[in-house]
Amino acid sequence: MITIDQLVKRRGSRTVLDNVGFTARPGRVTAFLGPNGAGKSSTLRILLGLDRADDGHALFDGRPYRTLPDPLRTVGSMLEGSGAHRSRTARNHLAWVARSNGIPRRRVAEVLAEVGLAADARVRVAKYSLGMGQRLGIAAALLGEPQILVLDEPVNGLDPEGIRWIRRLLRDHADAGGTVLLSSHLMTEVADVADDLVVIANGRIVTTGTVTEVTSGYADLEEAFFALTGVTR
Amino acid sequence: MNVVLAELSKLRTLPLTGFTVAGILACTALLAAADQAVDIIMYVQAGFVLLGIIPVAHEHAGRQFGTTLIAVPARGRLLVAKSLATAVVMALTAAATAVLGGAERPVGAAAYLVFIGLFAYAVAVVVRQLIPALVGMLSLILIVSPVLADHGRWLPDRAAAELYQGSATIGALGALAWVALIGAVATVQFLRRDL
Amino acid sequence: MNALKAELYKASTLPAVWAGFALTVVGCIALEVLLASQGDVTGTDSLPMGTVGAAVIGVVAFSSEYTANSADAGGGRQITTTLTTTPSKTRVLLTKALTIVILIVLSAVVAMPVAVGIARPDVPADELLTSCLGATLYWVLSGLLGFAITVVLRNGVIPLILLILNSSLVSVSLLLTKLTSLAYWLPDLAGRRLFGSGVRTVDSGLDAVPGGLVMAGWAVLLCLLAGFVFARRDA
Repeated sequence: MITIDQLVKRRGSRTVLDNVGFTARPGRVTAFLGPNGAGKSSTLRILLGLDRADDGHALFDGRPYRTLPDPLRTVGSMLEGSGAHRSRTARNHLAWVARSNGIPRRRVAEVLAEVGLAADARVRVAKYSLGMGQRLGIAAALLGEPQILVLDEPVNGLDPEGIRWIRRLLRDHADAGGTVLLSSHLMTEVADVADDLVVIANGRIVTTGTVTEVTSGYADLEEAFFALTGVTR
Repeated sequence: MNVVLAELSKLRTLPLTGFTVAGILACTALLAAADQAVDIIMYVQAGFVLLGIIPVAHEHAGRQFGTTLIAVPARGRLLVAKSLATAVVMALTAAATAVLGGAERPVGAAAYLVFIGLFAYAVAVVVRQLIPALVGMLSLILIVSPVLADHGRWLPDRAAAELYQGSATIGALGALAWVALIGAVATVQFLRRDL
Repeated sequence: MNALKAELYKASTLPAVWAGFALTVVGCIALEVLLASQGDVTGTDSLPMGTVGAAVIGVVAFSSEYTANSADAGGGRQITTTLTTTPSKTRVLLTKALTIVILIVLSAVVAMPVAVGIARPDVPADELLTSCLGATLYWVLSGLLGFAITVVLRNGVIPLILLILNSSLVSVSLLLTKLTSLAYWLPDLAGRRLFGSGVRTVDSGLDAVPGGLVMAGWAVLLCLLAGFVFARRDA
């Protein structure tokens, strides 16, 4: 269970997040939607303890991320691609991540196989394509067999086969009782996999609800997205 | 302990660390073999500056620092572990350099090199990027310090150089004072800053 | 001309270039103030600091072209844009080199009068002027050397370490002179006399004028090599 409550973040005189609040429940895939610059990444970065909020809370089962012991065993996350140094191999990258949280070494080979990078495990990350970097980021998220997954734009750079694979992965994770929160700027991209939608625009939550609730009354998904985020065509 | 091991694993699997250590030892061996009356320490300290900057700067060349903070969100613990891992690599390399270079006072020379490396490390924690940290440190120890000559005895490198050139006690005190100062600034920065 | 304007604009909007510029200006002036407060005035002691600033300007003007954007912003490198706007690689290098020269001369024009003014050294004005002009030439040539090495290696760290190390008292070239006097012909040592008598300098080696020519020769040679490598390489 992810609880975000009254989150406020200011950068200089600009208010990036203005009382942002929503929950993501176990057994469901929650999609966090909004145009570029709406505040999705800022929210996720505060949720994961990377940035500090000026006000409010972002909690995993009632605890802030920074207080979780060996957090990767509870929460698996990916922000912006691989998050690996370019001169390291994928295997060596995952090895230090695993060690930092006392995760058994065998998990490295297991997740590399799971995301389809087993053959490229000894290749330096600099040589990876955008899609491979994305898969490596997802591998790091799966390393600690976490109950909760937080993924920022997970389908970015993936080919159609990769997109189908990640959707299957997220669906299965939620069906097994896990909590999944993913962000996206494409409504059509997440409508098939998400159960709940949270829509953000200009740092404010504009609507939350199930996919049917949010999109009812609009001609199609895109129409709903543009109407809700206040973008006029 | 896991975090220290993870930090050591990071350094071990980064090619640049190995190249730097190898470069330092190769230069030391060459200078020692040439048997010229040169202060080997003065030459190889540039390598220790780089060795101190790498553990921090490589995290910020790309997005690895995000991964690091997600794996170890407790920043105090992360900083302690990273500093320990850096100090271990630094101490081993400095000891090898002092012995290989046939320093007159090997313990003092090694201590001086560890100090220079850790000072550069703390500077890197503050400025984060490789080039500014490198240019700043090298300017300080290679340009500013010699230009100021006798007027610059309080500068970090000159105060610490007493460790192997003069009174070890004064050198140790000077080095500790500088490390405490820059270390405090670096710690506050590291704990407070977003990402 | 448009390409030069574009390069000047690009450089002037790059924070790292301004950091190099500031290093020269602030570094020289701060050192002179410190020295003057101790009663030690030559007005030219601080000039090696400008070599560092010049090296930074030369190196980052080119290395910035190869710094990949974050994956989020498309992972592109600016060199691709530069080469699509100005497809002639020779022109790209020439305009870049010219930009570097202009910026370094500008930093000298700002830094030197202030530094000398603070120190008020007891040296004839014409001698002081010669020192300053010589030092400016040394800075410019150092910047161009840094630029050329960066082009060849596509890496800014190595030229920076080399240039800063060699402009100091623990110069590698100086060490080499103990093996062979040919080392006096290496760029950094050849040009040392350009600083005039004010700067603690080496005892032997080339005089200012032939030394300056040798150093300039190195800069031209390395820039030509850079042009050759850059032209043959895929972006």
